[in-house]
Amino acid sequence: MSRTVRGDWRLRELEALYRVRFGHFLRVANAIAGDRERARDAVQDGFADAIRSRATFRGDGPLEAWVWRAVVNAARRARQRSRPEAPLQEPATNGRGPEPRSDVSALIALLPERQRLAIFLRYYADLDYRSIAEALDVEVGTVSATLATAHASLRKRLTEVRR
Amino acid sequence: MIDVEPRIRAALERLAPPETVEDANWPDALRRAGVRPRRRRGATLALSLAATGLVLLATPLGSAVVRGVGGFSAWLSRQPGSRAPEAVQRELAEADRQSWAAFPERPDVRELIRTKVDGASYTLHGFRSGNAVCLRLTVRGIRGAGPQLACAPVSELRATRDLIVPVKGNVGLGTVGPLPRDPGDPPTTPRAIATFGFAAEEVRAVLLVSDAGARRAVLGGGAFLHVLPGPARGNRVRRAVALAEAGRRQTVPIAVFAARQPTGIPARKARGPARVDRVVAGETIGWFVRREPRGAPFEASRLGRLLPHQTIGPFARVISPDPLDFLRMVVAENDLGARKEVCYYLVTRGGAGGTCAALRELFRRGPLALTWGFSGAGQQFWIASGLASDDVARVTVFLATGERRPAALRDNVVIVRVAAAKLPARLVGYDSAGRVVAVQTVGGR
Repeated sequence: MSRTVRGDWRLRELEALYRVRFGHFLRVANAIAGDRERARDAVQDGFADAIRSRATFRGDGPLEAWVWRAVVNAARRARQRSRPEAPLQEPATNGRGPEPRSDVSALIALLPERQRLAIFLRYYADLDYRSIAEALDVEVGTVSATLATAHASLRKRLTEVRR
Repeated sequence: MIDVEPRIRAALERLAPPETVEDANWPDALRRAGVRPRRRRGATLALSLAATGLVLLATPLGSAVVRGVGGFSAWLSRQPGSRAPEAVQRELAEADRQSWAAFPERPDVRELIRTKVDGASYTLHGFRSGNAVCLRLTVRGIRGAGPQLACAPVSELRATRDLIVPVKGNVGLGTVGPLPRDPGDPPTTPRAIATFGFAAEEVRAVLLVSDAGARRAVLGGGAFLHVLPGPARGNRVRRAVALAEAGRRQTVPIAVFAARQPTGIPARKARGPARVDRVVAGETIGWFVRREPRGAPFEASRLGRLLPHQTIGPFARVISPDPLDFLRMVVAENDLGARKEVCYYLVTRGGAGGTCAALRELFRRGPLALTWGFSGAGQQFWIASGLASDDVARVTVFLATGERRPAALRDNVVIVRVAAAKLPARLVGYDSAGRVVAVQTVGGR
């Protein structure tokens, strides 16, 4: 198969993924970037990156995980451009204004970045461990350990809050 | 030990609510990548079909697809197919005027598919009104085959990962032979059975697999229509197979309702929280007890005809938990002397139904008192509805597929449509602090 034809197929796959999963990409990007408009830009930029480099996708893992990596990186760049030193912030909610922050939300914001990203990808995007590993460019075992640590940390802090 | 997962999920729901696809703009992504958007070619379909290895049976459906449009996004933007003639617009408006559950916005009816099968003409129309998207099949040439209307929530088309969303399955049209008059008379069979639903943009073919084999559906205007003429007794369409670009293929079961349970769908366990975080007691519905005039007044002269055998007390209100949906609920007092009951009747376009219970009994098993069912034959979206106590701030539906949907909740009334193919569903009530206070499973365990 020629490179041109293979590229077209990949483009169609990317388009199908974009149309079916756009809402999920936007949601995760929103949680990372902390702003819906920047999040939308990040999704567009992430997909643009994936489109440009689609010929380099080797198919070692799921295409979706490969695209997630591009979108997550774009969202992280968007956050750094706006607030270089700020931790992840609670984003506005669909233009209806921020809602009151719950205890758990605050605790999630205090987690290290990798743990937060793993939680976002696990719960917002419903990705399995392998896909999360691809998206974050880490080993599968690291994802498992990261999520376990995040859960343990939240459990500990929630217990402390209860006392 | 604290089970943190439900609390994480609840917190994340608030942190960043589910997003819609309305902001999606693929051409913009292409432009950013320096790629000029191009029109599709038909070659992909041929390759996709070949890749499935399925033998497509010749179909008698001679389709006249009105216009191919972009999948669910066309439905969300209200522009699938082409605008239906004025006579059709007026016909639906008149039907709406006489309905107990009128659409919140006057629909702009779209013509999606027009075809002929076995001498009968079939036209599939569709429209979006508020938060409901509906398909309406009209048939000419089969006696007694009235219009078939079925609706799905817009939220399903926004959030689903499926390529197709069936809304009606195995609807019998007309009859063959005389109707049975005595217990020993043989049952009739329909002249045809129809199955239809929504189709995403990337879908290039839909196959319907029945007990008699696979046949290709007509595809157009963001919808599909399949008609099986002269089915043998008991023959049913069991599943739909969507074939999309790049060799994607997806099978969606067509649910059949039997003995009050969905059949024909995969046996799955319910997902989502199974236990409550907080046990609440003494639940009630404050506004009802205080007789506050919530919602709209109950028009006895109109809605009363819908509930001829019910005792509607002096205090009755009509609640629309989603003002942009036509489904609503009558919440009324049933005055039986010393024993006062609250009655709740779901009002659909096809009729009304519900039950009554003493308030103290209503929430005896938890702060959600829901029933479920459907309105009309072959519906692929079933409705869970009922009352929630004051302790419930929101309700989320956890589907067996792992997907989640929000349920409309206002003035203690809960109404949500659930895709039958995704049952069992777990309806989970949360309090204002995000704690699970109610869990009710419908359509299985």
